[in-house]
Amino acid sequence: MIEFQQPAPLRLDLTGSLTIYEVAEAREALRAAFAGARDGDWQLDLGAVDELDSAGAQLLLAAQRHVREAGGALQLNRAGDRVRELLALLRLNELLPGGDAHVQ
Amino acid sequence: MFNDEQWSQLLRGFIEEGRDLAKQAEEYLLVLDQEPDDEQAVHGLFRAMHTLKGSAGLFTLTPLVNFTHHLESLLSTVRDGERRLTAPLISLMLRCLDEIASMLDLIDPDSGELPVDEAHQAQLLDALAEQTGAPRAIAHEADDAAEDCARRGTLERCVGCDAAGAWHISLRFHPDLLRNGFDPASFVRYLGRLGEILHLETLAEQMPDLVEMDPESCYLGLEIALCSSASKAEIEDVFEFIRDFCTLRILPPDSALDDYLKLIQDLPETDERIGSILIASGLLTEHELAEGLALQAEVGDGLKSPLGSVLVEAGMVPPKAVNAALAKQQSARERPNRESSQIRVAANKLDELINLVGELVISAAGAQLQAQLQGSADCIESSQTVNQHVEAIREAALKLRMIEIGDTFNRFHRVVRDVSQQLGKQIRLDIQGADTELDRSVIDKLADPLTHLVRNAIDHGIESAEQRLAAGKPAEGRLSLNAFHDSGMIVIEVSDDGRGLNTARIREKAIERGLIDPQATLSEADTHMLIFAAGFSTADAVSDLSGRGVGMDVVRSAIDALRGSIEIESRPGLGCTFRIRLPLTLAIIDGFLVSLGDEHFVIPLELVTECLELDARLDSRYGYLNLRGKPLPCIDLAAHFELPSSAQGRRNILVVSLGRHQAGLIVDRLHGELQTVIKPLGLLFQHLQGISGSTILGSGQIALILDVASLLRQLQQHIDHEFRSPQPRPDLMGS
Repeated sequence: MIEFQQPAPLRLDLTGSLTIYEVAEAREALRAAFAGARDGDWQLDLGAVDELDSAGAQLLLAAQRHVREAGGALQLNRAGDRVRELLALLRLNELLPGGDAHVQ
Repeated sequence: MFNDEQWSQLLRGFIEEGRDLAKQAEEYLLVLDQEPDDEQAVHGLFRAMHTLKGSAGLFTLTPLVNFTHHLESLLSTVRDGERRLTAPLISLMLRCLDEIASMLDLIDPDSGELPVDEAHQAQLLDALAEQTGAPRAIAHEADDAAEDCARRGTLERCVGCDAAGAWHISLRFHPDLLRNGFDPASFVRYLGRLGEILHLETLAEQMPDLVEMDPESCYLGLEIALCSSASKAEIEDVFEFIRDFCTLRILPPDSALDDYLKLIQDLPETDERIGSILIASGLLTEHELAEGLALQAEVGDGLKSPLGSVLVEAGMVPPKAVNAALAKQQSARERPNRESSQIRVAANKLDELINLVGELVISAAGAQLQAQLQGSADCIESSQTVNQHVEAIREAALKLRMIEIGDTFNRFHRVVRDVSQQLGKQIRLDIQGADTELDRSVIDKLADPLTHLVRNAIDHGIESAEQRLAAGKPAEGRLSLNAFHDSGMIVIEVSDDGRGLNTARIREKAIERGLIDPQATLSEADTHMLIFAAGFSTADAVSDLSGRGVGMDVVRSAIDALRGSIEIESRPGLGCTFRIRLPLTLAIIDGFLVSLGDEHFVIPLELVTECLELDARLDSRYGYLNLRGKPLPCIDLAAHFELPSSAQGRRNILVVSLGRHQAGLIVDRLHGELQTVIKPLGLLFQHLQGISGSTILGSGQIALILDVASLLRQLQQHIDHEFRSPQPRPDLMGS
């Protein structure tokens, strides 16, 4: 289960888990959100995301690239331990604020 | 890619290059010792370490890579202005360079193995860490490498643990992987149990845009560097379940360069992308990659150039397809290479060439002689032309061996620095005539005697700062090395502005050691020469450096072996100069051919100052003749060698001068100049006094080469003996 809230024009709050079971739904939500707002720097709040897998990470990567290609930036905020662990494992820390690809 | 022989040849090339780099680095360090802010030196130093590390990586010399890495990272902080090189840090780095030099010496070019003294290295690195104020970070790395390879992930290779290096694993996933319930992340976690993941990169190059992508398809790839002692099969087993959903490539640690290159080409991503991952994970150095790509480009063009030579000219090959940053670094490294566009040739090949040229000189002389005997004008003319060319070749060949003495001199900056620090003296080294050229083989044999002289001057010659100030001299002592050409010889001077030789003390010591008779009357110069006697030492305290009575006699025998001479000029309280005279080359000389009866002799032409007809008579073998109002000590060579001198015909005097000594050699006939190829004397004749070698004349006859220095010594002894007081003793010293 995943839920998206858009409390501000360029902000999305995610709640639930972002895994292979949710990615299809999540992609639609992201696509709609990105299409509906003007381009800019997006904030994704992951504070309430309790599970992430490689499929979810891949989606976040795609989302980041999408925003970047439109000239903006995508920042992931308040990532919990489990999210961080997976991103670190795949060396995708660069998605996180201040992230460095090589930090363990 | 290479066979063993090519490989070890490349490795030898690297060892040579490495020595040069270490030497360069040392020179830069010494510059920085004087001018801590010299930016160029800092960059040069960094570059030297960087290149050394890179090239060492190419040959899998992991201990060397690891060690230089520490220096390189330290230097990078210096370069970035985060740290300054303090005097103690420079001292420490000099010791590290010594360690690098000794590692280079320890490399076995045949097996490629490099045994190291790990304890010593750890000690140096600890000291380095202490100096840089980063004890934990670096010391930890040095000590606990085995437990924690991941910490060393940015290192070139994972070393220190049991595994010889890192595995490289390339994974490309099938789109259906995720849909089938597999998560790549869990395999990575599992892989972590087999060893340490040094480096991992998730590739998403193949992933379409968010809008087009199927989020349930997997577009990812992984490049993993794993340090593990597991077998290939064990690593493969990790991916057993997803075998059908991925493409797996595993390269064992230290795979051949071309395996990595093949991987780079096989993978769908661009060469640069994969290449930079391999660099980041330390499996390849930038150098290797650039080289490899250039190599492939070349091979791809169908040019079958020898691969070895391409690699040897490392850095000369413009990398064809590397990213901009890489190219930039590359060009920084190329610069020093281009500046010295030189070819390395094995010394023995040059020796062979010179030997052949020597034979050519002899046979050309033979041909000319034959032509003259035949009397055919055409024949004589063409043989003369041949001779001219042979002479030109001879000179060119000898020049090949000539190198500047500056390199040898420069290494004394280090000696002076170390020794003076050890003794607590302040000493400045001046170098003059660094561009004076000298035969390589002479320079090689000169290093040791010069070191002895320099150490001796610092230890015994130059006083402590207090003594100097008391004597009204500046506190800082001066030591100078000077080289110049003088009448066909090279002169090398080692001089100091110290206390000079203590003649009375030397005499006392020589008597004590039984080297001279207490009654003997010796000139000051002769007394000074006593310090070259075996077992002579006047130092009251045996210091670490000299004073053990070894050294000065070694200097003498080394110079003798080079057919050179040494003299001492000492001014009490003002300083002392040791002056070494050496022939320019050891192989071929311009000689002057003379004969005594039927025997031919050659005298080095550069020593001959004039030829005179003998109109007076010499009463004995040795004596004096009047040369324009001055007494000229003379030696009757025929009598000296106990040869029958020709009864008829006039006799001649050859005036020779060696340094400031002048003497006349009385011979029967003069034949004129001759290019002389020196052949060493056989074992039996090596101890013959007055003869230094032999040569073969064009006619096939053998001519002996006179050792003028030893002849003059014998002459002096006889004259001393015969003309012993009452009247004042004449001296060989000419004007």
